[in-house]
Amino acid sequence: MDHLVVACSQMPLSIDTMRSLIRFFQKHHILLLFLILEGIAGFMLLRNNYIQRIAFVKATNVVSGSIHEQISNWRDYLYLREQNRQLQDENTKLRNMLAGSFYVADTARTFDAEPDKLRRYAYLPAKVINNTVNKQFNFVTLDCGKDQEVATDMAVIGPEGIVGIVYGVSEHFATVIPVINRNFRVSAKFKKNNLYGSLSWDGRSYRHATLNEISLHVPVSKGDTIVVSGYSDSFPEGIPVGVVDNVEQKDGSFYTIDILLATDFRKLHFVAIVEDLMKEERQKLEHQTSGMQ
Amino acid sequence: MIREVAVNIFRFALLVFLQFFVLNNIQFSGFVNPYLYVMFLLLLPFRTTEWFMLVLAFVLGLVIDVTSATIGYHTVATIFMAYFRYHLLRFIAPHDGYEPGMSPTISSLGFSWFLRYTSILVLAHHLVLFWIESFRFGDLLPATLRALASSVFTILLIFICQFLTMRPK
Repeated sequence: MDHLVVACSQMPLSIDTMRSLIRFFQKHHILLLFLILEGIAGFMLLRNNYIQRIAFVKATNVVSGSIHEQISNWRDYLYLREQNRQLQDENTKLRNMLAGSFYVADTARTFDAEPDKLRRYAYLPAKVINNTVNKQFNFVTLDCGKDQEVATDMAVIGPEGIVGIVYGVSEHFATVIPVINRNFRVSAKFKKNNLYGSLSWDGRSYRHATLNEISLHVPVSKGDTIVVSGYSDSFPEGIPVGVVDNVEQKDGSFYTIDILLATDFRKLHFVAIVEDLMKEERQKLEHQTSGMQ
Repeated sequence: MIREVAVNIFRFALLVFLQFFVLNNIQFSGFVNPYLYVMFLLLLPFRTTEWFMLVLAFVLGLVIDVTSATIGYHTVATIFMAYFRYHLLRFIAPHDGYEPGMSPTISSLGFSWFLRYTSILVLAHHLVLFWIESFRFGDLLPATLRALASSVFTILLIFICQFLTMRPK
């Protein structure tokens, strides 16, 4: 008897709730649709972790890689003069490094070191086919990929200096996280005294990056050259990063140094991908050592 | 009706094409990037149902996101803009209301109305877009300045397009 009473009193209530719920949906269906669609988009935005991003970059590479390549072909004509100058500069630099350009006073005393030299880095030329400079998370697309044995985390350098690190790789294309991406970090040092700090980008200007963690006792002056330190996992030591443009003393015991980047990312056309042939060996050893603790 | 749908499909394709091939490759002074594609949502006819416009905004945002290799940024901004348009249209309606067959253009509602309508919506879209792009870092001021600068260029381009396509009366 008691059960029946309870059941009867609940029935109209639930129908009422249903009805008002339906009325609510009818009245606010646009707001609800708006919230659902924004939810989906926001979900995509917030969930883009490392792995999904690589998958996405791969997918867009397949779709737009070849189109970007076409655009880049047209654009090449517009920048031929600038490219020629950059390549010429680089050629001159390389020619200066050739054995023939050194004066050897006493040949008998010179060791022919060449056969004993072990190659540590291999360079692969690549062409930039897409490049953004006005976003917070800029990236660069190159025209080589797995087929040319490009792999994630390889360093990318340009004629003027550091460019970035390979991030996503598909069969024929690779995407690079450049210095001007807020996720980019590299260990950089002063060329004059080897004191090192951490280089990152604050998202303000594509010509400038920031060098942090330099103690206040370090003498810093405008124009000092900054290069990549030997602590980097990918970059060969000594690749130019830029020059000191402005020194700021934030609270705490560190400088925040504004670096004018050596590479002008708006004029990036040809780069080299650097493969560290001893990386595996080094990482294996480091892994073993840290595992001992 | 069929002509209207065809015109809008063509406009969608043309704007996505322009955004991808031309505007994403031009960067005025490095930091200003016009997003002309929002013109598609601006010019949808008044009688477009709200839910359909939200869905269109979602599709447009998704297409732009995929072609410019961003995830979700443009989609969030376009959906917001479409929802905002729905409320804004009621707010800035002229005294005698809208004629159902019309689209919001300079020739149908006049220069000053169109300027108000375009500026508010473009600014809303750009602010959302640039804010969420830099949102995890807290520096809203530079993002706001970039949004303002880009908005000026987008609005300028929309007006140029309007004058180019205007039919002589």
